[in-house]
Amino acid sequence: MKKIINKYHKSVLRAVCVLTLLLTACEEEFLDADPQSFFTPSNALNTPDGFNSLLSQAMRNLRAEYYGDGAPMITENIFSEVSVEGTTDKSGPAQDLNLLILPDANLNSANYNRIGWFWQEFYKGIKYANTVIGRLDDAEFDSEAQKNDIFGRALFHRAYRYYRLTQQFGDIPLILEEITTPRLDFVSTTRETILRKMQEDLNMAVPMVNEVSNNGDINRAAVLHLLTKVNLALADFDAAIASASQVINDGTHALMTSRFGIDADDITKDVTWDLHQVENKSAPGNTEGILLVIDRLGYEDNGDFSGGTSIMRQATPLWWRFINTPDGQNGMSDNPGIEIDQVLQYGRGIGRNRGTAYSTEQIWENANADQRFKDGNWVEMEDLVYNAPSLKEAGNSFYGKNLELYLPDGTPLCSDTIRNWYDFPQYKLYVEDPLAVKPSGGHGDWYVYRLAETYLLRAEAYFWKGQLALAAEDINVVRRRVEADEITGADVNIDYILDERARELYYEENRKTELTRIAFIFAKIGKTAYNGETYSLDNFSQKNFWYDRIMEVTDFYNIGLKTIHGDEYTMSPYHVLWPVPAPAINANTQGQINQNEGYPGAENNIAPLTTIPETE
Amino acid sequence: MGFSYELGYTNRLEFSEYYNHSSAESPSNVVGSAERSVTKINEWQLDNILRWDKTIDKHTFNLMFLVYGEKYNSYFTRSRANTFEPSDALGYSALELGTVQTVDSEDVTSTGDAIMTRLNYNYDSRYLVTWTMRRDGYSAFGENNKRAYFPSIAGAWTISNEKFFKSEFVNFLKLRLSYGENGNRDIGRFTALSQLNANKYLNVDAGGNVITVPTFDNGTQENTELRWERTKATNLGLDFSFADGIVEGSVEAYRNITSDLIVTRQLPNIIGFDNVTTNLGEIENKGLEFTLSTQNYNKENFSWNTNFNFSLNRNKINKLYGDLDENGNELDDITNQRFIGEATDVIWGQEAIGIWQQDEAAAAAEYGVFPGDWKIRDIDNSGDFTVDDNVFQGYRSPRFSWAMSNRFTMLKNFDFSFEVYSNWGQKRVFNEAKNRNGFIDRTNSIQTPYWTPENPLNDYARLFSSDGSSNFAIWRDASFIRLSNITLAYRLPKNLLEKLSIQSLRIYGNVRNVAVWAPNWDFYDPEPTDIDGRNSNGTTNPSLPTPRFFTVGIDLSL
Repeated sequence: MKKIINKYHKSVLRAVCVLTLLLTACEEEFLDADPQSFFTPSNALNTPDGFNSLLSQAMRNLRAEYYGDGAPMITENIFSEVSVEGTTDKSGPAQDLNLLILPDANLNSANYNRIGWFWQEFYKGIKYANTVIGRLDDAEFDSEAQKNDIFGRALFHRAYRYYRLTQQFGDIPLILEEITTPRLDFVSTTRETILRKMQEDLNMAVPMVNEVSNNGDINRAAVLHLLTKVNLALADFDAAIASASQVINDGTHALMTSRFGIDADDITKDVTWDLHQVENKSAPGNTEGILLVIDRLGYEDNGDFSGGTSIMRQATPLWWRFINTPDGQNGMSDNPGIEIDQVLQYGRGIGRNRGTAYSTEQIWENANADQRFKDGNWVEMEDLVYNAPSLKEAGNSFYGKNLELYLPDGTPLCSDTIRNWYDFPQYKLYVEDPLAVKPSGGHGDWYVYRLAETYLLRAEAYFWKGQLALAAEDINVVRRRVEADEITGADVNIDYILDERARELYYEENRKTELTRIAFIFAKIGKTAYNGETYSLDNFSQKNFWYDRIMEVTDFYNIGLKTIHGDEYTMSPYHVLWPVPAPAINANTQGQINQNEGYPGAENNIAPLTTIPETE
Repeated sequence: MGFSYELGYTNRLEFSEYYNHSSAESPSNVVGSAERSVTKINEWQLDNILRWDKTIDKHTFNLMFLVYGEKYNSYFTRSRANTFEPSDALGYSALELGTVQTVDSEDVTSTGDAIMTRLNYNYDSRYLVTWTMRRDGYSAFGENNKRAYFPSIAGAWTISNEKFFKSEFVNFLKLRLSYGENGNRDIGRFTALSQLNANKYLNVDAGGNVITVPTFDNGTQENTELRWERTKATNLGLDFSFADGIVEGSVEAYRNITSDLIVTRQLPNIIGFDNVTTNLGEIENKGLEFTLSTQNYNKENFSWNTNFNFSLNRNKINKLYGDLDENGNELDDITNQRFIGEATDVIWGQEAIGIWQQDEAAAAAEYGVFPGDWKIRDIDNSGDFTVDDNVFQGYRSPRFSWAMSNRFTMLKNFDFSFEVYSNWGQKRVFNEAKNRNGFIDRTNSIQTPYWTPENPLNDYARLFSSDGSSNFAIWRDASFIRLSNITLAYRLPKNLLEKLSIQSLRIYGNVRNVAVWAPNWDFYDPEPTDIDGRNSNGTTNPSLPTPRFFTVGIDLSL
């Protein structure tokens, strides 16, 4: 620091005047400190590159559902018949749904559930799309085709979120523009109105979006695949058949039926294994993927999802503790590098996403040659062996022997069969994790849409129309590829289609979304379900196919089952629609966002909008 | 003439560098990683001050004119790499050997300016008037609101200098009254803008090659109207000195109306933007401060001085952003917990009122919990917990504070002093009372009392209790009185020092954070240092107790 004090009055006085003038003259510019290290909408969201960057952000946002600890997609599985929340050592995980699934409860945490994540992040995704759509006219494009592709992909992103949100939450606020002020006057719009608008948008987007894009981005088939789901949700079955057929017959997409990729030379494997190895999902020549999200090792803070899939931690059982040998010794170890190293192969699972007996046993009863249930692809707990080094040191004869669950007298050898003992699809869950000492499941690409689902969606549309033979044929396309027995039209009903979806798309599809979509179709068209019931939209939250299906095929929520911590598995029909997070309703003080029936706050509901207001 | 000119120039240049190597040899690392970063900050301030001082008889004038400018620049560069080949032995000195390399940088500039005129007028050391007008500018505000004007006026009357004032006892008495407007610009340098956070995403091309693609996240709403926060402060004070300075002190009362308070406003999440930096209506602060210093005893072999101060502040939100309901009343901002007519630090939430006991098992079951779990007040008796069950539960910051220091000099050469201070009436989060501080079967945690059927406490839950469907925090009164400092010193007598040819020698012992009395807080330090009531480092991890310092020292001057 330096300070000079002068007392030369006259000359200094002059200097001050000059200085003052100088400051005054340039004072306007002096306070314009422009940002140097980031872009703002005014200087970046007026070019095609700026829009593409927002749409790539929308892909990052879409990707996040499938990755990380307590990945949001697990909540989709738990609110269906394929999985339950298996972390049994504390209160909080979504087990006692009657108690915990409430608007004011913790709805966005790996240790609770991710309902609030969907609400928050999907509306963020809608914002990215709306920002692009609203600013399209600000930019100059190289060509009309470029503009159309950007516009079409933005429409996809918005429709993807609204399709999901309307199956998760029902009637919700429909926002079609970038909100640039702190608005607080939103109201809900009916699910049907929103889906109609999305159907319109996607039909418009189909010809606009490029047929071929990089993996990890949107192509025309992805738009059509989403459109098929929206068409089904609106019970427009002919339209669904047409849009699905456009994908199936597009000449670029086909099911993978022969060996390919990194393990192609390993004769113990098969095409089912190849299809789901993360290295193969977006490999050249894989014609089955329609929409993928990309995450790779070696792109830390440079495009990866920090920490990777974490899928083995989430979805394989906690096999490394609480399993004893028949002579009562601790049998298991998750230490890597020991003589029988099982942690590298199966990962250090914590059993958060616990496959139910439905998805791990019942649907495989007649598996026969089905590759998806073959040894090596599918792992049963009895395939694991007692590997604790302490057993070897003690000379225990069970060391290296296969696990057993019961003694001959029926005494269980595993103290928590919810969390520690269930079978799992190794071919889907195995993701190498070289950065972790005890693997959690590392970086790798994930399928969001795959052609096998397109076939199953078209089969479903044929089923609704009563064209059972055509439905059976589409299902058989999927089954032939995995060497499963073929079926006939007489076998086809929603039960069978849901079973096939669970066999083919476990830990891939958004199971709660799809099951709710089907429940809405039953309620809308009044067709009698295979269980003998008919459903109606009038009392949807009291009686619906979603709840009846889960009660029918699983034994958790319906038998008073309790975890070892003492929390009971409970569920009610109104859980078919998730609670709108209370902060969203409370903050919206100048309007009324409706709460779903069955949850506190629903008594304040007003009639939802059935039309889309014209924007000024 | 009476003119003087002062030119002040300050420059601050700061460098900070960071180097880190996490070796692959460590058992917790699978690959090695290394990082180096450097930050440079350059900041200057320029003052031009012109003064005019003039005394005519009993009239004294001081006029000051200030022109001020400032500029801040910072430059940050960080390079990181991991997965080294052939090995990470060279660490951060050879980042180019890493197969994964990332670089990031951030440069920031801000500018500010001010023009100020101040006139002091003093008549006969009895009447004093100060008038100030200033215009401040700062680059972070919205396009049209970068500058604002802030006037102030203050007057003082030294009553004890009046001819009519004749008192042997009262030596000094001065009454002060002021009104002034002040600006606050304490905001991030670019918060008014909508920042497009740049990141990356991955694509795979037709050949199977991975491509990184840029992403933009428009995370905040732009606010082109953001303007200076303005506080209109009215102050009334009395300074006094009695009995030749044996008792001195002041009393001060103030009322500050702050308008356009700069706040980060969380937005309803369906908008898709997390928050916007905005100006919040109006907040009123009222308070009272009292300071007193006394010479209790003053003799050669023993003297005793005391300093005491007391302060108390109350605040209230008068207006928010102007969002009205259908009746034209302004709406509370529930998202940010800002309520019209309530204090800014008010606690609002579901209230824990005790522990469910054994004989209440049936009632607990209706809420899905068990004896030993927390009982939550169900205001509307609805059987579930919503925003309708939230209640105001006190305040995060102290209702009043006081501090006292005492200094004793004994036998000429011994000094003894101690300091005490107290914050009273504030509450802090104490979720330790949920007894869920880790997994009891596999991690350690701090031992707290816990409920069992045999030990039916009402203020601590059972081990690993359930919250049921409620979303609540346990708030505990954290009032305390702290003996913060004790010092005992011995100064060697002059005659001894002269023999040793030493200027001065002082031997002392000092203890800081000696003791704390907190009647309702049974945990680590009760003193909250941030608004959420946790540690000074801003975390909510309560596992950092305040240390007690013992110091023994010698001060020696040759």
